[in-house]
Amino acid sequence: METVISLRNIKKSYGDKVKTEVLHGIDLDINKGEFCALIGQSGSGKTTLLNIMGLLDKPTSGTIVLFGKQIENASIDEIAAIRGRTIGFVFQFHHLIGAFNALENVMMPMMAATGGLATKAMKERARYLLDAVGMSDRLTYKPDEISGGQRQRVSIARALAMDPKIILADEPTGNLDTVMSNEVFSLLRKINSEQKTSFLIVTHDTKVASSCDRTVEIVDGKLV
Amino acid sequence: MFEIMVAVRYLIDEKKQTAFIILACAVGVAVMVFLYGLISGLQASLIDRTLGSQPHIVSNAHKEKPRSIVRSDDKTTVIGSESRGFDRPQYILDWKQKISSIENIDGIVAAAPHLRGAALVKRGDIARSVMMNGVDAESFGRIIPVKKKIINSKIARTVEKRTSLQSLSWMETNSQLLVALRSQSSSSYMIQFFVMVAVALGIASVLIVSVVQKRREIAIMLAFGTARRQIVKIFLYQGAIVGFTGSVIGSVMGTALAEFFRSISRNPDGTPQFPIEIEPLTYMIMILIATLVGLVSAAMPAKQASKVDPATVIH
Repeated sequence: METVISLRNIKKSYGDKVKTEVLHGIDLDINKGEFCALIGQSGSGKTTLLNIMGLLDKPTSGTIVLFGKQIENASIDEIAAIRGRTIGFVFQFHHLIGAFNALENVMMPMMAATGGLATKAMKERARYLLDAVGMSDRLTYKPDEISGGQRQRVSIARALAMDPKIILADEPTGNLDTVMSNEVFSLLRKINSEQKTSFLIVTHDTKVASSCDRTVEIVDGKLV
Repeated sequence: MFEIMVAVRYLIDEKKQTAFIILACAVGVAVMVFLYGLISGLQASLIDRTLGSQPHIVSNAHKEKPRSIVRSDDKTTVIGSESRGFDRPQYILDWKQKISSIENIDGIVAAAPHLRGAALVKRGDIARSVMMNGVDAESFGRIIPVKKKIINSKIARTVEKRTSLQSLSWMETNSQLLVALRSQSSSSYMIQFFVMVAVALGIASVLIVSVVQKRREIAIMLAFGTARRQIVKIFLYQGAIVGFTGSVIGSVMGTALAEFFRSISRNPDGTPQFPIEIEPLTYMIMILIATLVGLVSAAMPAKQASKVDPATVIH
């Protein structure tokens, strides 16, 4: 089984004078195509772990291997580029860019990666992705013109824009009602089975966790 | 291009904020253009009036130098000298030759002889002393209308060297006027400088607010792979775009203001008191300066934006 991301003995502490260790040596492998749930109580360190896996935060110690490449020594902009190409994010709140419509929001990561304007190919891909998440009739709508569930769908399409190997989702259905929540969740599963994209989903919802392939639980900064 | 596109979209999205800073910048540039137009117009008209009635360079025969009564030597120090009782008339006897050699100097458009002397006018019992001026009507007429090309002191020195006549340019004979004009100009530069500082602070403060408002969006852009230097550019471009747009609008406003001012300040006969002269180059310089000021004032907000930490902002 190909490993997408591998964490070894990851420790993270905050504070200069009084150090508070949030993660006490985490070992975790996510394999290709895996649909994995990360559960834990608030304050258990799951958000910190997700940030570190998403290269948004640096561990105090330990190694992160992404596709066999160790990445701690990369510069901050190199890390940004690696993150852009390999990791997609879906957050609890939609985090779309308010000034741009759905189509443009999905194209943003592609434009950022090239540093140029939208190309025809980008438009086609964004259309395809928005169609895949069932938003093909809302292409020119801005985030404040669509519902919460629709925004989350656009976010998912954006997370897929760069064809990432893994999608890290932080409570992706946490802000949605049951119907919407089910829709979004089955959308993630569909992407997983069709494109073999790995998922790590942080959730409170035991129902969500139980319908994942594997559940990892974090308690007080340690995996159990 | 990605950065410019995002910068433009952010500015369009924040319509009110953008309108305010562009307006602030426009007012600043309008003041600069107006002040520049007014002062340069005023100065040009003053110089014009001064030069309209006098030649740019006046060359005279050397005056006789005062002679000392006693020669200074090691033992004696001379503290007094004989002063001339009156202006002894000095003549340039070879004036035709001198004029033709002056006319050959680069930058000289026309030269004319001028004879000046004291005379007495008597009518009945009353006698008055007058100054007689003798000119050659044809060549002198060529000098007075010559206004556009202003001849400087350097040419006067050349004239002096070639003809061994004592030559003074109009800048030397009107040095006090020029000093006054120069200090007027420098005070107007000071005002313009502080106007620009105020504009810069305005742009900076609005952009700082915008960075704070957009922290989450900046964080999300960083998360999907936007480099920090791209974020920096997005805000720098916003500053430059505001400076550029504001200065274009401000140039129009300033010109209109200057024209309006000119139209209300007229001579009793209805002619404008002075022209307002703003060359295209001036507009270009003003726009360039304002764009740079916008860019510089965006530096701090841009730096602030690049320091957004996605790990703490997003969740």
